[in-house]
Amino acid sequence: MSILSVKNLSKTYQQFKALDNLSFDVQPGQIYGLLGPNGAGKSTTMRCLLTLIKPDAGDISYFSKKLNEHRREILNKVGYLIEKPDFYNYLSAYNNLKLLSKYSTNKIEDKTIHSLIEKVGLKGRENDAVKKYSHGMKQRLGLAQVLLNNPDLIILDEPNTGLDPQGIVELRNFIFDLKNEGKTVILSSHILNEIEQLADSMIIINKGKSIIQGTKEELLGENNLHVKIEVEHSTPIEKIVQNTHWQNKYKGTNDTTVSFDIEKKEIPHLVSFLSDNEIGIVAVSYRKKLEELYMSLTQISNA
Amino acid sequence: MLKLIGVELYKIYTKPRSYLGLLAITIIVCLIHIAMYSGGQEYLDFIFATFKDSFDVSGKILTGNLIAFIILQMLVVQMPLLVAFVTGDIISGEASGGTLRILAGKPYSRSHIFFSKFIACAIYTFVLVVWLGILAVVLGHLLFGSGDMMVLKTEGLVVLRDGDILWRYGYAFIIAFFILLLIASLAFCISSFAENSITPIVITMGLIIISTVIGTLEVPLFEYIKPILFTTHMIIWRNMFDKPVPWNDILLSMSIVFSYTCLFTGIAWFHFTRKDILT
Repeated sequence: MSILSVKNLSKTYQQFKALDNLSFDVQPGQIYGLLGPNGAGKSTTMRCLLTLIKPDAGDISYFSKKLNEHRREILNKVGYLIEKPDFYNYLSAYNNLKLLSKYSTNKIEDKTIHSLIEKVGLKGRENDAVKKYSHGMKQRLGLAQVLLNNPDLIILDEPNTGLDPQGIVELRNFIFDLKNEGKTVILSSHILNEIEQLADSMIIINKGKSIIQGTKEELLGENNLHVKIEVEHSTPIEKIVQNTHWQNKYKGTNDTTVSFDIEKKEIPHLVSFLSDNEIGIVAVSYRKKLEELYMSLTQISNA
Repeated sequence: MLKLIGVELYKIYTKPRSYLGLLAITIIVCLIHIAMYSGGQEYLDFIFATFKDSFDVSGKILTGNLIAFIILQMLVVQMPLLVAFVTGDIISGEASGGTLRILAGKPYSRSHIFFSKFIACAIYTFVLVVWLGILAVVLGHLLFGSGDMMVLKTEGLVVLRDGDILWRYGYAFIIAFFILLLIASLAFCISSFAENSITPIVITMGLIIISTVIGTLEVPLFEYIKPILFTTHMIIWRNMFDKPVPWNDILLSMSIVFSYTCLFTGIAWFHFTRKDILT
């Protein structure tokens, strides 16, 4: 049973189609990555998930319950941080959390607020006005706000924007901790390396449509690798692979780099085949990176 | 709902701009008191000079009752601005500050958030009116003492006995509250559409000025719309100092004021509960 199910979500702003029949499912306990270029529809999707934006069509269900029918019950189990962490700047961190805790239908104790302040590393600064905080400190406060109602599902939209490298590492560990506590996290980020490290499953969207989705193993696993072979001299490979079973797997040549889409176990056979045809091989790289997958898919989608 | 109203009141209470209205009223009213204390008698002699041939005015004219009336008259323009200053910011300020997107994804419905904000605005407006009443009437009486009151109106001079005045102020302030609540609902309505704090205040004041100008122009075309202009009814509190009190006129005006308040609040609610929060 999925914790979140999105079916055929569509949203149009005047002439611009922000979401076009988008569907995906998030399993409990997962870190789910939402990827896409600027304007792909990531933020619109996240805002629809929180009822900030009303979709034109489609269904959103959490815990097998429809969002539009069980909004109050559902959103009481969801924590979120959408884009930059904004707060009441004239209030202290403690007072901001105290104030926002009133918007939960559960009673949130003072000790919960203090423990969250400690958890995000703001102890000692909790009585300072938020206007005196750096972006990193506001981000920490944002994460404390996310956890106020002890949510089962956490939605984080570009949480590492504006963070320094140390902040990014801390955030990564924070998200791993949430997963270890059994929480489900939906995460969008521009930093592909972060998603690659964090996400169990992901979806890449462009122009409001899903381009590809699946588990990390399915998308970045050992099947269907994009293999690059560095050869000694520029060679007309297409003639060599013609009428062989490598023909359909051959993806092109760029100067001395030859590309194939094959399974990992086929690499030795391909190397043998090329050697047999007197092609000097300098290097073979086969690890498929998210960045590569992302770039190739979004370019195809844009074409 | 009560919890959310408390939260909204807390936001108003902790926001520095909320005190600007109270401070402005305090300064303006105190300035009027000081001015009237030092040179009020000459001012009144000048005003009543035209009646010297018709009336023999004896006794004390400069009383706390009259001062309060003068203050209320003078604050007709300022009070809506002070109300709009806070109520015009209550939704748009959160939209521009980014906190609206935090609130709108919380379990409480948008209607809950909307009405908690509106009720908080009404309470803030009430506090402003009460503060004005304390400064104008109570401080006026402390400084100038009590006594009969002479009110100069376009229809003539009305003389009210000392014991016949305080209840009129009570009603006048209640009417003033509902008039200012209308202004609050207008600013609140514009605030639900805007995404910055300045626009609702500027538009609210602009509408008040335009409506007032139309109301004062003696043009046949405008004669038809004058009765339905909300600014026409903003000075209805003055009728409480007529003899006898024209209750029917007051009730008619109040029903128009109430209708406008419902209209502006309804539009704001309709828009706020349906709008996409993109900020």
